[in-house]
Amino acid sequence: MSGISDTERMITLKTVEGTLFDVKSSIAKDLKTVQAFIDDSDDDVTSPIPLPNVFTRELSRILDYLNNHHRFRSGIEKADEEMARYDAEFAKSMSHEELKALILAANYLNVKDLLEFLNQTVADVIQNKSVEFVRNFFGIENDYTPEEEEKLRNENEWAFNGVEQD
Amino acid sequence: MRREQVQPACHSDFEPDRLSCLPGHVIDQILSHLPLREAVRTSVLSSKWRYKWATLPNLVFDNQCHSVASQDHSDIKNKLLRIIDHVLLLHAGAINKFKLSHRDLIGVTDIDRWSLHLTRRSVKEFVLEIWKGQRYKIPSCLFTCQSLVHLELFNCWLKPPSTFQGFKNLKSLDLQHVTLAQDVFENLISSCPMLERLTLMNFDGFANLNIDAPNLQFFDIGGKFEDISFENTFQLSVVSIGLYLNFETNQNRLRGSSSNLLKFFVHLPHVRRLEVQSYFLKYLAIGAVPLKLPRPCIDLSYLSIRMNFNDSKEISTALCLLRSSPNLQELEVLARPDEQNVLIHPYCGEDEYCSCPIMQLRHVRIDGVSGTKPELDFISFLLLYSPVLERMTVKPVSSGVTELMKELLRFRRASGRAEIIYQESP
Repeated sequence: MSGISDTERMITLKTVEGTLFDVKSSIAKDLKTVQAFIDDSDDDVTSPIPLPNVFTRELSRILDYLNNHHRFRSGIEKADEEMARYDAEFAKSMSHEELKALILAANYLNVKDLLEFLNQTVADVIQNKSVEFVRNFFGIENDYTPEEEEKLRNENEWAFNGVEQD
Repeated sequence: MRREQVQPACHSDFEPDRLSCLPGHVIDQILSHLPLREAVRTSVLSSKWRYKWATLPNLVFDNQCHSVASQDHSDIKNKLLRIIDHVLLLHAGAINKFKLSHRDLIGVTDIDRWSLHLTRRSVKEFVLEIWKGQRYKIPSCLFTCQSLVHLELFNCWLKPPSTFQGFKNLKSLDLQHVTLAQDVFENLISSCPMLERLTLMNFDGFANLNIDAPNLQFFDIGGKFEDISFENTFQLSVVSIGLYLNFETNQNRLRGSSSNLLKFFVHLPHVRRLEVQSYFLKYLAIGAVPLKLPRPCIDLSYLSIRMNFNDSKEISTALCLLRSSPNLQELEVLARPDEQNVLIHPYCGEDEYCSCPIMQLRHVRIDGVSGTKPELDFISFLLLYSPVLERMTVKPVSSGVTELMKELLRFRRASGRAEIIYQESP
């Protein structure tokens, strides 16, 4: 088995539920947390790497994203349009809860590009929405009294004009 | 991807509290993707969120700051001034980028005040676009801002104080629709030793460009000038030059004068991408055009030129470039229509195409042709001497030039794999 190039080596990852995923090492490089684990190990990593904070649903989505983006990048010109369409579909396919769960997983695994894309997606979701909506999204409890909130809104009046009412 | 289901677990067992707690740096990144207005609104979510927006490193004040209901421009302007004052006062922490670009903003002295504040806060990127009114005079304090890494100005007038020592950390400079004197320009460039990117569009106040910049990698210029020369620019890799002035070529002046083309390339040994736009090829054609450059441009892989096919000197200049670029892979030739229709340098086909090199061109694009003899000779030459050509796209100046198409199909090609695509104008 000598002469196998680095890109063909497979890494096995294990999710919280115990599901195993075989991942090409070139894809695993984008999971910086995993890559750091591999780099720190003295010997070749042969047994499945456990990911105690990552669920099957999230890892599956992350790998799907990375596999597709690798494919787009390795091709030629037209890929930009295709990639934009894929990204739009990807963002639309998730509920808010799923989006947040994916952010947490991408953050734990340190997948920089995906994390930035997901954060932009959240920014797009909460734009121009009411304060109540945004509170719900982030699970924030309002600890202002009505008078305090009113005063704050008046101070920053320019920011509150023309927004969806609560 | 092989999967083995070992033990299913219920996803909803681990729920809302954990999911709602997105980590701090994630929240910061989300806020930084929002327009400033939206970010400031988050102050009302809860007391913990009151000043989360205030540490945003990038402040962009543009048309989105204002939901424009009012038609009164001075009203909008006043509101904008108050918003910027308010935000700058509440902001805490480092300011990385400040951008001001609002269509109702004219040059007001408040900008001087903000510039002073930003200079004190060590701003790294400063972008100022004055959409209306006359050139805004940049305040002296900005010229003392040594933290600047990127400076971008639109519709401004630069007159630094005599104490100006340059921007020691400036890597990127973008000046468009600006006025500055000749000595100010030269001093500015030569006193920014770290400069890597320079964009200069539509400038006035100076006509001679002498670029002395040892770290410069990217240079993009479009405007009216008389002369351009480089000094000490051995890192320059991407160059785009557009001369927007059709100057009169004085025959007497030209006799025996040195070649602009030679002079231009002496200090650009490593140029990788070159765009010769507008009338710049005409400028390069001045003087005695050599057959080949003394030192080949071995790094040049992309060349785009706007050429007057009726001027044989411009064709000679283009051919000299092609002979001197052994690794050129992509070529784009845009025809410049000849307004006068007077042949200054009459075309003589056989003379031009002596000493034809074998070229490594893969993709060629020819735009705006109508099927004249010089154009066809040029295309034929490209096809005959490009054995690895993959695609040539020809776009005629108007539709219905079928004679051109017939000629193209007839030409012999050195590359068996070459596709010729004839693009009809819509």
